[in-house]
Amino acid sequence: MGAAPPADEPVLRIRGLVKTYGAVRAVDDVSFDLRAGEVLTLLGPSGCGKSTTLRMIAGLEQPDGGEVWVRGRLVASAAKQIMVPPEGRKVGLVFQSYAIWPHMTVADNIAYPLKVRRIDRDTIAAKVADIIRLVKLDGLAGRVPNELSGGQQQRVALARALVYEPDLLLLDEPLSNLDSVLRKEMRAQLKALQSRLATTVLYVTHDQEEAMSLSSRVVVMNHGRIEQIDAPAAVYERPATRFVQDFVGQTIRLRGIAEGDGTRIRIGGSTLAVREAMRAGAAVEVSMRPEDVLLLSEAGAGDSGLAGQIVEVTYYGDRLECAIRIDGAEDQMVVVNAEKRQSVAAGDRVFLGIDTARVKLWPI
Amino acid sequence: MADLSEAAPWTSSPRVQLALGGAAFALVALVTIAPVIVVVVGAFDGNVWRETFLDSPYNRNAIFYSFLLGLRAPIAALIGFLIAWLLIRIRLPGGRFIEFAMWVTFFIPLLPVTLSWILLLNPRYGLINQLLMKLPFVTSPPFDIYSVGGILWVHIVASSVPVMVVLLGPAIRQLDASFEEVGRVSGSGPFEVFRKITLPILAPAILTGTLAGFIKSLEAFEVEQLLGRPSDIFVYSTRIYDLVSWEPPKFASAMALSTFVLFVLLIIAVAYQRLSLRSDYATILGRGASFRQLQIGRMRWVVAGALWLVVAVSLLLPLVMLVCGSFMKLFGFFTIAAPYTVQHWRDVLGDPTFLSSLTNSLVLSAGAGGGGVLVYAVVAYLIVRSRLPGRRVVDLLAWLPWSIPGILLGVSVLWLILASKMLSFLYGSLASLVLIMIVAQMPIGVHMMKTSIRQIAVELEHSSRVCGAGPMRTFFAIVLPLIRPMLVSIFVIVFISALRDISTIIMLASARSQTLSLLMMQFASSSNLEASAVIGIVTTAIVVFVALVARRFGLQVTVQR
Repeated sequence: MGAAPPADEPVLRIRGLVKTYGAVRAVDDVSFDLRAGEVLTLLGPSGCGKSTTLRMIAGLEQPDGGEVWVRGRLVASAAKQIMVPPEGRKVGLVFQSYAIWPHMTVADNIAYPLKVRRIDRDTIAAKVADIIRLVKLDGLAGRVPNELSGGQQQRVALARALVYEPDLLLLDEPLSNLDSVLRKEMRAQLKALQSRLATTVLYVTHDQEEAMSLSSRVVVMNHGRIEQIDAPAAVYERPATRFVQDFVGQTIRLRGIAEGDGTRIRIGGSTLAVREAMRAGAAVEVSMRPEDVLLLSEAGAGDSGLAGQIVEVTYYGDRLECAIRIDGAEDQMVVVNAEKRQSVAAGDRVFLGIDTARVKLWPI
Repeated sequence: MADLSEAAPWTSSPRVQLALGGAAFALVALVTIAPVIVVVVGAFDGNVWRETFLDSPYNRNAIFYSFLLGLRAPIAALIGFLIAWLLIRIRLPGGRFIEFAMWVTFFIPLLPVTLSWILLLNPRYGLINQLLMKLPFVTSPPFDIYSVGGILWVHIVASSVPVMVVLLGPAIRQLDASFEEVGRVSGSGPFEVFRKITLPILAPAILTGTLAGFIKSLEAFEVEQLLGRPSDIFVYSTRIYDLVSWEPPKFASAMALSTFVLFVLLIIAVAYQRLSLRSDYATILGRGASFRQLQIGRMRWVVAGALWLVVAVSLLLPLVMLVCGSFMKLFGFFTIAAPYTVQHWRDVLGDPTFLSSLTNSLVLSAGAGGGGVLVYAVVAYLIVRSRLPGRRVVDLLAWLPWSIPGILLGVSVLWLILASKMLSFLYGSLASLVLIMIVAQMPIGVHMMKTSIRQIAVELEHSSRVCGAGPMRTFFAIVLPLIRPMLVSIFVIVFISALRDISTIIMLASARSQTLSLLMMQFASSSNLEASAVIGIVTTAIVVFVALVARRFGLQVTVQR
């Protein structure tokens, strides 16, 4: 690398980024830093502003507020009226649709960024050959895009974005056009490639599994705002908001009233002892991950005190799902996983074993 | 390893881009508005309105005949729609060839076809008249080509109907077959479905086609010149030609007449625009799924026979007659001893004027085609993709020449060239013809380019930008190659239009910029119909050849997209 920036300087810094479409604030005051070698994922439902954020970083959209810095250089600022065009930003981008140019061969596609930079022919040939080997496209250099499979096209897009060694690689839902088997495979390849090249990556996805498995940190977004920035495990285990808990992983929810010193939650006819304290008398939602709830056929050790009756059992191949009506709270139904060797049937009385240490309480 | 990303990619500053885009827009505005302004301003000169409309019955008659002859538009729309529907919806023996023949007819220049019809329907020597005279009770020649009926006939057969078939075909194809299928399931026969479902749904498209046909009918020049003049039938375009050919030219009267026509055209054009938006909506509703063609049993032979007759009359017969005419000692006189000769071919091909006209025609066509493709692509790209202010206005302006008759465009540009010192170097030059053809074909060129550019996923361009290429490089390395089939199609359309055009360029051309079409017109006007037929065959041959190439590419476009 040329003039290396100070180690503590982030590759990407965005501050107070805003994008409005009419009255809608598609991106609303988004700020974060991305350090060298890090993989940061913007995670959220469609329309949460994650793609718009990425497009503002790439220079494809002009921010209505805030600033974007790449390697210490201000590339977009609404206040200072700075807008460096995409070609001046030294970032790489892979679109969801790959956007491989159909009129060029694989090699021409990959060589394009180098040709644009007026690099000599021999260097281009060597670099293209290297990257083709790296992304495992050997022997396909002369093909045109419509002769390639989805996974191959995806790798061409990746090679094209990497070949000029950009400061920052932007990936906009790069795997969502692939079928599930291929997606898993490409996820692994992407991860291996990233750790090998130590590329700094900003990854946009709505798929929490991708976010969890690929990133060093995850930015969960909703309605244009950041809900939480944390390591994947922290986002899953300690969601900062109810939205994060709901969006990342599955959630089982029960409604109750806090009692006594606030650590006892009355749900229907029974109470659940929890660690967090809520204000006594407050209505709360008790949320937990499915893996923190066990289905017990009889009261005893590990029993949380909640019991109910199975209303319906659904077969899912690798597991069973039981819809359970809680005693004394007939309006509440929870769906709990059961293992297949457990013999469960509609009408059975069951007890819920809840890991109360991992339960989250939200006021409602 | 050197940091490749440090290499500064070439890019012009946003200010330069804005200036370039602005200049392109200003140029479009100039070339489209200037002719209109010239015409309207030129029309307010003393008592010219009084002179033009009250004192001169010729001018009033010209207006009257223009609109009377415009009646061919609704007639052709109905016939054309019926033919297109039959061709597309019914499996007919030779259906594909009939469609192809319509397509060729659409491209063949009008003047040679007119010559053929003179051979057939001339009151003195017309072949059909002579044959019918042999029948008992027919004492006078039943047909006279030099009449309103004759002009209508040539237009309808040779251009209006084929145009409608070509234009309405896509609308019929897009119509979701399920509309008709539901009708069939509900208990209607195929023809009841046609009457009660297909026709009403496509009515806006047919009406749009009618309006377009009407606007285009005011452009017509050469047929009226050749067939109307002998019996004092003048239309707007031939009258303008006379007024300007006067010594000294009566520009003011020509402009007053043009202003009136322009005003009428503007009203129709606005109606057309609004309607075409609605009819687009109506037809695009369907998903355009492929459908099973109707089976109508033996009836199909009757229908196919009728359509074959149409092809024979509109394409084959004129072509055969044209070839005959070019080899005749005396045009039309089949009964004299040894009527055929190759003398005209020898004369025409040996004439240096022919060679220079051929060269001029090819230069004009290639120049207008090549220059036009580039101009239209840039303008369309800026309209579709840029955020330049005023792009909507430019979008409308680019469409303006569509409703300006060629002769009017020619007159106003001639006036501009004569009036301004800066442009005088263009006088009588081939360059002025190239420029005016580019302007005249801008509406269709820009429209087709826009459609094509919109089909490019914008990510393909964004990728290029992020990869380090500036907007210019992206345009030339990504956008243009991606719309290559469309570039070829538009090139061909402009090429053929320039090759066959008479009315737009006739005012501007001089002896040194004489084209084949003008030479053909000149021969025809000076009653050297045999020589005119020879050139007609040459022109037709070039046009058909190029049209065949275009069809190749045109088909590729439909397969790819």
